[in-house]
Amino acid sequence: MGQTKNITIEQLGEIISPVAKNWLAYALILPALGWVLLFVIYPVFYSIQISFYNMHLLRPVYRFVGLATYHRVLSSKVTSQVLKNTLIWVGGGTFATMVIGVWMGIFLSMNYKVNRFLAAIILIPWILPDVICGGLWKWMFHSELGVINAVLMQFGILKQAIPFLGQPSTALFICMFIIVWRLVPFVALITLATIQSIPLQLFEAAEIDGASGWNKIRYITLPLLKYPITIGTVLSLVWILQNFTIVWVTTKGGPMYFSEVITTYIYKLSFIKYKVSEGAVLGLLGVGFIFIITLIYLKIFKKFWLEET
Amino acid sequence: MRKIIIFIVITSVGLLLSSPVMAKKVKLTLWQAFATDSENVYIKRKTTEFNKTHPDIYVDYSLERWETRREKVMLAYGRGLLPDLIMADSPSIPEWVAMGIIAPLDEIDSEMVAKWKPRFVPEIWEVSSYEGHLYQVPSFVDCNPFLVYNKKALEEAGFTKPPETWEELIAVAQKLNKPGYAGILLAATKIFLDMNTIEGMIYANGGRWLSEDGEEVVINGPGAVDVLKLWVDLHRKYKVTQPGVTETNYMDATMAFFKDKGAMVLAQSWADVMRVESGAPEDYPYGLAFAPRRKTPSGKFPRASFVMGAMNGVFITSASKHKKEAMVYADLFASEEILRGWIEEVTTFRVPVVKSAFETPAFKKQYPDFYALWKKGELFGEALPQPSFNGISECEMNLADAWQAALLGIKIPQEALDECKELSQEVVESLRF
Repeated sequence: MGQTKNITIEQLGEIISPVAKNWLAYALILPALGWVLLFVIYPVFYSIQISFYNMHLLRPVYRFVGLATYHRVLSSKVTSQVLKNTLIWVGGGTFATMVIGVWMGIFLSMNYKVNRFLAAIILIPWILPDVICGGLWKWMFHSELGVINAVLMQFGILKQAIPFLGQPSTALFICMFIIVWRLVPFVALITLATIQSIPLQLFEAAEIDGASGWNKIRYITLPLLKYPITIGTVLSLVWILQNFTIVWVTTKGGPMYFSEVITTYIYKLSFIKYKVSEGAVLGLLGVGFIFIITLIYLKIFKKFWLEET
Repeated sequence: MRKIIIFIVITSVGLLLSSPVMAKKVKLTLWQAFATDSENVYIKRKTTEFNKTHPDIYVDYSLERWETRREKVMLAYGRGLLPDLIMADSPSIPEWVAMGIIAPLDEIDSEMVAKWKPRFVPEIWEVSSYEGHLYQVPSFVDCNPFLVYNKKALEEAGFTKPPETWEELIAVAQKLNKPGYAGILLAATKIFLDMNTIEGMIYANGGRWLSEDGEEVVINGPGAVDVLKLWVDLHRKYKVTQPGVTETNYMDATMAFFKDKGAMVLAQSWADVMRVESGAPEDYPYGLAFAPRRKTPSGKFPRASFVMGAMNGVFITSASKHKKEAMVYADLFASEEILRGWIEEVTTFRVPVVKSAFETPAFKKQYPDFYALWKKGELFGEALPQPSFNGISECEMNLADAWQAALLGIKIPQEALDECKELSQEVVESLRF
């Protein structure tokens, strides 16, 4: 016979008491928790649900199809092109952002008078919204109306304008250029802040020992930058992966699918082709990538935090 | 505590008294998809006047982005947040009917609709109708394809009139083409305006999207293939276009024309709007002519003189709880005064929809060639509605991919359009129910 265990009032009080004691803390985090549940958790679960259907907004009925939608999306040659573009977009963009950002941060830490001024103006790309960045560079690179082609032709470097945004070989790389231009200031500034916190005595000791400028960077600066480099890499990866605006404003994924990335393709599938189930499948793929990257970020962050404490 | 309660009670009573419910005023929400500045001002002004003259109805007007109008409406429908009225384009009709977003106006008030019908051009009435029902009160139509050409440049090169055939087009473009100045500017991005111009050329060459029974996609027929071959030849063989055809949309191409980057551009009937946007003077020496055509159409369907879409007009949504009051507002925009106002007060080169507007001095001045055809009774005889069917959005994206593939030299025209047909056929079949 099963035995039921009655909870006594004292035991109930022990459970409720910590909550009751900290009621203000729970009340303050409830709105944030509600927001996360409503706008993050619920859409993910709804996406998982509809990904197993063949939902199309122009069709009044839809049915459960199991993994058929997954098969359809993942076996499409357009999806292969999109995933390939996304890898280039994210990998190449992150690499360029980190390399340029870190070196710019190191340069800014040097005692040049102009660096104070540079440190201020490099913030401009960072504070401009994505849509302005995309629109600005789109017009600058335009073959007919853009200043870049006009100047290059004026100086005789080009005989004819280059359609940077209209040819398969350059469209995606122009979008990458724009996002790198946008994100480099962030990496440069966290690098600069870290370098400025390095004790000067380390550099002085190295100077006394006869270390060259490059050796100081290699053996003092760079090792101490591992934390901002790691954080910058992870954040750049996430920001580039989930960026929609720059590609949409600049090329809309064209020509054909040559600059299409996962975010713009999800938008097209869901809101232009009305194939919401297919959009949900790709959306879940994107969520999966970001989830993995976030786990890596948390693991590394925890490791650094434990090291420092 | 008592003061707080009194404050809350007074505020609530005040809000209640000022609410439309208490005033027995019906509130309607209107989303207007962005048009030109002068058109937006016109609509807002007329709406304000309507609110003053109709104390029992209040229309809450808001301006929405044109590019994202379909997405916004679709999302609003999904969340149950549709407005009562939408001002948007006729090509959206089949998809919005399929989704149950818009209501047939003749079912709301058949007498009112019957009263409107005689004043409209019959062919334009059909543009705003679908499956025998009127869904939109059209404000004006945009027609394409047209050729906008630099009169001065053509005259200096020895051409007394714009090209009328494809052969003449190639010859003129070759003569006028030079570095930094295209013989003809073409637009082939993925936006729907570019596809509308291309569809206009296809239909003018006897091509169609669908077979007569609507069952089969026939976009890969000779009517379309030959148009694509012409574009590919202009771009790749004769090299008389701007280099960035696939990155230049219709508005950029027309703007580039008015900034003296090209001698001709394939455009729509509202090209003058881009002249104003570009800052070109009112006396800029340009002409507007029907786009050049093949001497005999190669498609098996009758040639269309042009295709037209009612790019702005009043819809009443199925979600509206005040359809009768919404019809009162629609009646305003179906009035002779407002419809003539589009050509007489708002001079942005839109083709009017009401018969009386074609006799106005403003129309004669803006469209002298159209006026001449109107007087002969030949203006709308061969005109067709802009292609529009359930699934058109996706099919136009497939067409854009095909066009770009051929222009970039990735596929030959027939191959590109065969693939477009295959993909679009899947779309059309999957939406049959």
